[in-house]
Amino acid sequence: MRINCPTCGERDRREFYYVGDAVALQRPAPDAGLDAWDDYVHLRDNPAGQTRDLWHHEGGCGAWLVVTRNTVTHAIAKVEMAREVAR
Amino acid sequence: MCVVKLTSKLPFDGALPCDIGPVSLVEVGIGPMWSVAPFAGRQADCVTALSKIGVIWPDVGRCTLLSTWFGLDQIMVFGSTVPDMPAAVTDQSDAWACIAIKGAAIDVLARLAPVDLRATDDTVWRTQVGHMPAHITRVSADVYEVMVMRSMAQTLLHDLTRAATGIAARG
Repeated sequence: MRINCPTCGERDRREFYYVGDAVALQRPAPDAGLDAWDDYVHLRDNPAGQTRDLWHHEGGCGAWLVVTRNTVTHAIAKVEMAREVAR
Repeated sequence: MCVVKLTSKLPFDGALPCDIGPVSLVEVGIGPMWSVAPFAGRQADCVTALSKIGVIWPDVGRCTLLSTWFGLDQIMVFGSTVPDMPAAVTDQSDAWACIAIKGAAIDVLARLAPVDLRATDDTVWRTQVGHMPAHITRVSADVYEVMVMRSMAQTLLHDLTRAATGIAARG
């Protein structure tokens, strides 16, 4: 598996650390209510198909990335800098 | 009066230089080195401040005479002082250990680093050597410099020695 880091170019998967669903970039407001926070902290989809994950390029430039990939075909559709997605 | 004279000790004192199979391993004394990580949106100010002391800001994946790219929004500057600038600046002298691999360096590193090291001179990579975070510089076609955190110096030496010995055994 190769991930195309926007800074470093295409790199081997071993340089990256998997951090979880990119939902972490959509933190609810403090007063959003229990349901929103319960969803944000605990409830994850388990899609057969496209998913968005956070990866950290820990063995490289140190960037946080949002990787859009397909859990069925393993194809990676898109790699973005998390700081630009979160903006 | 007795004056205690302190002498600095390099990470590979006593262990290098050495020749193993197709390569020579030579310690590179890094000297004073500073990490410069500009505050958000302030890189242009740092570029200007450093240019006044003759330091060129390196492009991503490149090094210059007195500076080298070291990661996202981070460079290292070599020299005894750095100017005031809107950046997180930390003294990294003595924090890193550096070995120059001379000879078939690219063959040795091909066994350890998951990157294609064929590139132009002064290209740098943040990658891994074995399981260690590392910084690799292509000095020339047959000289590559590998920098790791000083605490991992002996591990780097072990990994490079083992890779070079393996290549030598294949003839």
